[in-house]
Amino acid sequence: MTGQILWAIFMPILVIIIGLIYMGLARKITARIHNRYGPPFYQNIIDVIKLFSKKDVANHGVMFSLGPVIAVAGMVISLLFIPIGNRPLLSFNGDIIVLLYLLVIAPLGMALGVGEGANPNGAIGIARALTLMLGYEVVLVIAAVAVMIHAGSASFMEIIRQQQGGVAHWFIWPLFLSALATDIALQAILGEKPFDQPIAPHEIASGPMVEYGGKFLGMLQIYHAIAIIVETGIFVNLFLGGGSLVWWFVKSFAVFFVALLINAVMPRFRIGQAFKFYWTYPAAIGLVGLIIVAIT
Amino acid sequence: MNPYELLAAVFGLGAILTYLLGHFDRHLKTWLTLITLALATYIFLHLPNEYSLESPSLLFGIDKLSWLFGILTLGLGTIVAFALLAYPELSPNFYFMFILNIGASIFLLLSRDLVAFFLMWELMSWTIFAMILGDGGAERGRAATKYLVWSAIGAAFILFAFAILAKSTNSFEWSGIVAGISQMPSGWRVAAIALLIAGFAVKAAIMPMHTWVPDAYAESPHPFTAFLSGVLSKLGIYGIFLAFFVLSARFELVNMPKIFGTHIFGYILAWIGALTAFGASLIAIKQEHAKRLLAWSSISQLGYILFGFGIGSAIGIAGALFHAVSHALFKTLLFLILAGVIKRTGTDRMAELGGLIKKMPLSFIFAVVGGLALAGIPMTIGFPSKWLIYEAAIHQGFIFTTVLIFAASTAVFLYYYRFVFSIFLGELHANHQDVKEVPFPIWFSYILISIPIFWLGLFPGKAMQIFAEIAEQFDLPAVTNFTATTITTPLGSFNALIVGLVFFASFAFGLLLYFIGGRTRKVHQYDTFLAGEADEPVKLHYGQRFFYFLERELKPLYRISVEKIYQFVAEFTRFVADQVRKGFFCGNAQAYLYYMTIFIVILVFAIWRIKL
Amino acid sequence: MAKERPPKGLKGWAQGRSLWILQFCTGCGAVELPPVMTSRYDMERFGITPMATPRQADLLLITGYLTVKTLKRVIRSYEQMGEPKYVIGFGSCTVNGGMYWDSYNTIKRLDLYLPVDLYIAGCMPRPEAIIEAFNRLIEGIKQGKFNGWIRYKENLRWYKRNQAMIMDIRKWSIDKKLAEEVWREVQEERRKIFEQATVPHVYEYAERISEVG
Repeated sequence: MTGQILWAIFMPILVIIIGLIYMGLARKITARIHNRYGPPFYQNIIDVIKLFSKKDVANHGVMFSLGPVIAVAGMVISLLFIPIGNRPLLSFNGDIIVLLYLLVIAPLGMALGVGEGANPNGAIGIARALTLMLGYEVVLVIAAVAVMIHAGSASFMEIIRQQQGGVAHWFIWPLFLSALATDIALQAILGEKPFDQPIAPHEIASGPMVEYGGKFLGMLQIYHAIAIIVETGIFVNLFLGGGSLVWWFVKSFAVFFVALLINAVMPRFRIGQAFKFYWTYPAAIGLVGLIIVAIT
Repeated sequence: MNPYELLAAVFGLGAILTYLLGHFDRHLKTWLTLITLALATYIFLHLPNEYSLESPSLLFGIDKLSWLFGILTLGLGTIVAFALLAYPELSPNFYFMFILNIGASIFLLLSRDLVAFFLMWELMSWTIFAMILGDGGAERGRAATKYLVWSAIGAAFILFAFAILAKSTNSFEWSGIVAGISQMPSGWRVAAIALLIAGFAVKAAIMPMHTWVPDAYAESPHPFTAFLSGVLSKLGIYGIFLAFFVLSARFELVNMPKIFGTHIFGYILAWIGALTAFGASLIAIKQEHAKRLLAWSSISQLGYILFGFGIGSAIGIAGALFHAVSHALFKTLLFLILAGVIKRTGTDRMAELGGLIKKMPLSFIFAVVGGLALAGIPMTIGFPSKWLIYEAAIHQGFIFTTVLIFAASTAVFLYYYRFVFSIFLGELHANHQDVKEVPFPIWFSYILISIPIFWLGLFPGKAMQIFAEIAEQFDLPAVTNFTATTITTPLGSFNALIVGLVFFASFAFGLLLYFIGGRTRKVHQYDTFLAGEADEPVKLHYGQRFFYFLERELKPLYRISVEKIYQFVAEFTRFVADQVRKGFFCGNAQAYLYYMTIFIVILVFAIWRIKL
Repeated sequence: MAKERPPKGLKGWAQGRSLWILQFCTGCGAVELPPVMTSRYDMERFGITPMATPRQADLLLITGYLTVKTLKRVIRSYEQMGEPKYVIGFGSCTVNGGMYWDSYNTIKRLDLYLPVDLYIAGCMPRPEAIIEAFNRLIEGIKQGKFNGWIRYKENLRWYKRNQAMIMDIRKWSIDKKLAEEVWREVQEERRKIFEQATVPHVYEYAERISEVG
């Protein structure tokens, strides 16, 4: 029991650091693709330290300050419900559907905070983020339902258990189309191009982050770091069979690497195009995968 | 005196007294209403099981299902009546109708035979019509008339179905019908139940009987809309439950052909529910008036409940009943909040509101609470119900409808955020600089409703207990695998209390990060990033056409409209009738002479034949 | 208020290694920034990257000449930034007016209106010079040398008076109370200057611009 509690306290901190390193590695790899050197891989950790030491940043009110707090809180609680390295911290107390709803707390809290900032750029960013969410959630749920039917259960540990025993048992082989659909949805969940409309620094002045500076921005960076691990973690647990601690992070980085490569070379879609794309092609791919699973 | 008669007397006397004495003091009518409802609740909680009135022969009784909906009606009715303390401008007529309405609803829930049920149903519908009218006005009249027409159509369906049932089973009582329905030929059986469900669907706002809802909800007096949407639509749900599970003696669960393991009747109901949920939530996204937005949201959530009933498994039924309870709670809360906002600012057009968080912080906090419940966030009552419905759907193999209702659930986040942002967040309008917080009765009612939202959200097992008893009573599959805080289904489990506690721990972690950081300075609302520009007297509130890019993409879907179909049918009928009229009443005296001559010839011929 | 200090130790090192510039390209010197950002001269390896809003940035690059119109927006952006914040003056125009030394509409000494931490001479400075300047800035931050924002806060009145000579600071300042006071004080001086102008129509024109733009 104490082992569990210690792990529960230690893991979020570990995940934050690893997430920030992922973000730094993303910048390094993108830079190498651009044929330049790029920042050191621990650059995002330095960024967060700098952001937390800034003073006199603007504060629009109580809800504004609570926005990033709820964002971090929502992500930490989602983290605790995903088995990392096959250690089920709280996974027996909630399954995939619980997780999908817990994942909503963080953006919702941040959206409420952005609203109090009273900046139209922020509101437009949130509107775009919600539209995109309507797009990719449908695809995600199509794939998740396929996994649930194939495994006969919605519990993460059960799904991981069925994938033990080697690479051949991973769900990505029988559920290839669903995995493909999830990976396309993952691109938007991570906020990577071509689906980073909510952030869009060139169009809407970084959207929701427009009024957040200093420690708030630092908290949002931490939120993004945990989010990367959580979201790639969902893919790893559902399709790539979980794995021991080190392997889990390797697989998670592999998923992130694919997203990163697409991000480095693609421009951004219009939000209407992105939404329509999600409700046509990935949804169709997912539905075909779902029908195949339902028939067999 | 028998408690049932006492209850009827309390309601009747309460209504008359309130009407008569209400003219003397502004608040007296509300206090009288509250006293009536309090007395009624007390009596309701102590009712014996059965009661039959001799002449006319009516039968009443109470069981778990009636108890559940009755507590919901009386509880929420009392809270809404308490909030009415802040609305002294409503006439005593309104309170008279209000008490009569609650009385009719309670006796509706208590009736155990067809005549009593129909009488109470009609009384309830008619009082709603009177209350929607409120103070009158052209728009209100139109909306109320639309409601009345639909209500009449629904009542006609119900009456027709009752006639079929009574004739075929030779009994007017619930028990007789249940016993006799297995003997009915299956065609009549299905017809009767389908008609019943269609009739109740009018009240429960299921597509395609929903077109009265946006207008009626938008035009009715604001605190009354909370009651209408929260409680009275649940009476339609009660009726559907009655028709589908009780009166039909579960034939649909046992005797009908199956598709993928669910019976075809339930399958059709589930599809209707899912399409309602999906379509209504998409329409809610593009509303510009907050009341209409919440009205479409109600239609969508009621579709969820029908979906749960259609699935027909243990978790499905429990989830649907749970969702009925939670929807009653959070919709009442949201409409009351909106009523408070309209009271203080005078408008519900979201383009004209904004920034009210600074002036009405309490309303904002409870709007967030209501929204969390609406969106189905764990820790509030909205989540266990939705979770159960999803689990039921996936377990039974309903794949396409699950996708539809999940899309509906995601759409909730969209329109809910629009609602909260356009009213409370964003920029404060220049006209609303002097807006004050809502008066005490209203915000106290927020607190009262929020308590069960969190209590049942953290301890869903308490509600599951009641649903299990209801299911067992009617011989339906019942959920047994739950504790006070955890529910376990064949697919997975959910521990509500742990989620709540862990969230507080995470929130503490977030606060820790907050206090690690440097200090901040408070800035004015207008000191925001405007690309270096200074604050101009230009309104920067993003309150209009919030999701315009989404509406553009969904335009083909938006062209499908049930209302247009009805309008087309109405126009066509009028056209045909007009042509017929023009054909006969053509203003030509010769034609009229012909008619008269033919008529006289026929008359003579008939009399000649009869005489012979 | 206690005396402000520049960040030291870990905070100072982090601040230096992670400077975020505000993407506000004021003048023609800004054309040298894309080469610095892109592959050949790559400033991102120092951790410097452009950000969209002043709330998120801590380095303000004044790249080139500043008209009075732009100066108003720059001052507003500067005051919206969080602390610690640094200003680098690019090119000769910020030092002494550069190419536009006799123009009625540009400012000649940036240091009168904003506290400048570092100047880069040149017209315009090449990317190598810009990278050298960044390195000096990073070194100086680590040692706690650059504290322009503290200078600004301690001498706020002086800066505001200078700004008030050429713009309506009541509109363009964040601290409205102080702006009101200073504005009332300098009215007399402004009137005297405009009266003594030798080329009346030009200064009249300048006055009209400064109140409208």
